[in-house]
Amino acid sequence: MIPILDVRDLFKSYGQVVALDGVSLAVGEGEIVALLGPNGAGKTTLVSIVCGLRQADAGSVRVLDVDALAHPERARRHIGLAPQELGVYPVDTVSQNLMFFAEIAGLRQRDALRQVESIAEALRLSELMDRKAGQLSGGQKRRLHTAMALVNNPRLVLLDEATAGADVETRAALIEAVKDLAERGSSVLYSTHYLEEVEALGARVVIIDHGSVIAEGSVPDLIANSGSAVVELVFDGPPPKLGEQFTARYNGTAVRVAVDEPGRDAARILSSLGTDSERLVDLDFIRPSLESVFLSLTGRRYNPDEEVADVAAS
Amino acid sequence: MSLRRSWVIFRHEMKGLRDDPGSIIFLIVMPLLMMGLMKPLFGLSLQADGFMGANGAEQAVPGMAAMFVTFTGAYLGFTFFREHGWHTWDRVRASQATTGDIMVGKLVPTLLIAVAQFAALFALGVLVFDLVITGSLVALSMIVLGFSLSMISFGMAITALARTSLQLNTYINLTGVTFAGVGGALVPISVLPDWVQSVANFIPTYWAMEGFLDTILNEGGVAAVMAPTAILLGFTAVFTLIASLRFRTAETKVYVG
Repeated sequence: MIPILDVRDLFKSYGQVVALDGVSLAVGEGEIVALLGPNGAGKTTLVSIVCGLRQADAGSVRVLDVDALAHPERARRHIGLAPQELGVYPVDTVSQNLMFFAEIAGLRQRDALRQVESIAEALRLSELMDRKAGQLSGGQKRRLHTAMALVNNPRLVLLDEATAGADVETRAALIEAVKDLAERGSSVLYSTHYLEEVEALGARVVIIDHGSVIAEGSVPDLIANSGSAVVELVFDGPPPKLGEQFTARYNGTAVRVAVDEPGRDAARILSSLGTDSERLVDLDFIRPSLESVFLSLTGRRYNPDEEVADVAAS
Repeated sequence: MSLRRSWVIFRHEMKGLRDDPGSIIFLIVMPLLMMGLMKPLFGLSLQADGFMGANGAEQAVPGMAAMFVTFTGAYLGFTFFREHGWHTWDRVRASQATTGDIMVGKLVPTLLIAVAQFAALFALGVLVFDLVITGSLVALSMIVLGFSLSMISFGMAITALARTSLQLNTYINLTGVTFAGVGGALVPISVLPDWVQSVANFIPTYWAMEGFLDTILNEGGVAAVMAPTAILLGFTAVFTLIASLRFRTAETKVYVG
């Protein structure tokens, strides 16, 4: 498959802070790629570089056949971006916000109107067209914000934390719209820190942490390769050393044990603790999922709000 | 560059102006009030300088107009800071519009505002304050355009230098009043100390007032305003250079409003 977006060995630093450390990824035609990682992992920096808002220190970015680092203005003809920050014109109506970006993309009035109506319907904005954006609810604003990125029917859609702070209805509408886009041939790079959204999208996943890609593949493949279930035990003080029959990783006061059957294996682990069980303060099961994949790859529980300095996001 | 995209941005800016005309009304009403207040005083001053038939409007109208046109720079800056406040700046930058398209789309409406402000104030000056323009209207228009361009480019340079909208307002207000005071718009240049008159050569407002007074009082024609117009265009070039060297599209600006 010829990639619509092809990123290779991308590096970016802000002073001493390394935001991207040799990131490579590709998005094929009609493909949804979820860029998953905690806050500050480098997702926003990557998205900003792809659409030419920031410059890379090294590496290459191609959008279709365009060198996006050398010719960002040419690359942007194929891109629709919804940045992380909610950006709408509050004094304009929903319709005016959408028309502005349709026309700036070069659509003629009639085509722009048709496109605006179509995208408004897809994102459940049709009833709100004459309302000022400043009077919309948070979820409605979020849908408008995303619609503005799609109104020029771009070949490559960059959605940076598209559902941040969104309500359930908005989240569902956005997920459906993204799937629909991909079905119609657009390629989507969907940056998120919500694991459940990635699973709902059925997207190929690129997991990014501290500016590096640490894994990529389909959700089932990642889980099959590195996502076994985990039993996590937290102690009051240092955790006891478990027997060699357990595959355990120690982290502060916690010990995490990879298991096949969490219920049965948890009982075995607990019975092996002896008097140390009195110091046990918490017990948690992590089912085979993207969360257990992340844990397996990084040794850390997935915490979307974990703060790693991503200067582009601040 | 695409004129079509600039036109879309231009229309968007003009719509914003129609939706919220308050600042433009202020830029026309305030100088009118000031003209009324200052006219008698300026009349005496001009008569002392030998213009016996002068009623004061000859100084009050161009002077107050020139001072308040300087403040359109703040309006221009506001159109950029507002985009940052609404988080739409990155969206526009990531659209198909180039930096050139965005600049043209934002600068041209502000230039039109400045020219319209001058036109309205001079017209009202004639109708309300008995201003008589003895010289060429073409010459007057040359100064209007040259000064408007210099003030728009000055506003762009200040926008480039300011990090916050509060800084923008402070810088523009401070320089606006200083330019008017030192440049002979707030009071006739002849009543200012010699050293201020020397400094005035480096202020665009001084050259605008030279051109205006020549046209209004001395029957000045195109030839008489060639030098002031050229100097105003020189200021425009310098301010544009500062703006283009300092303006960073990726820089985050803080809108406080």
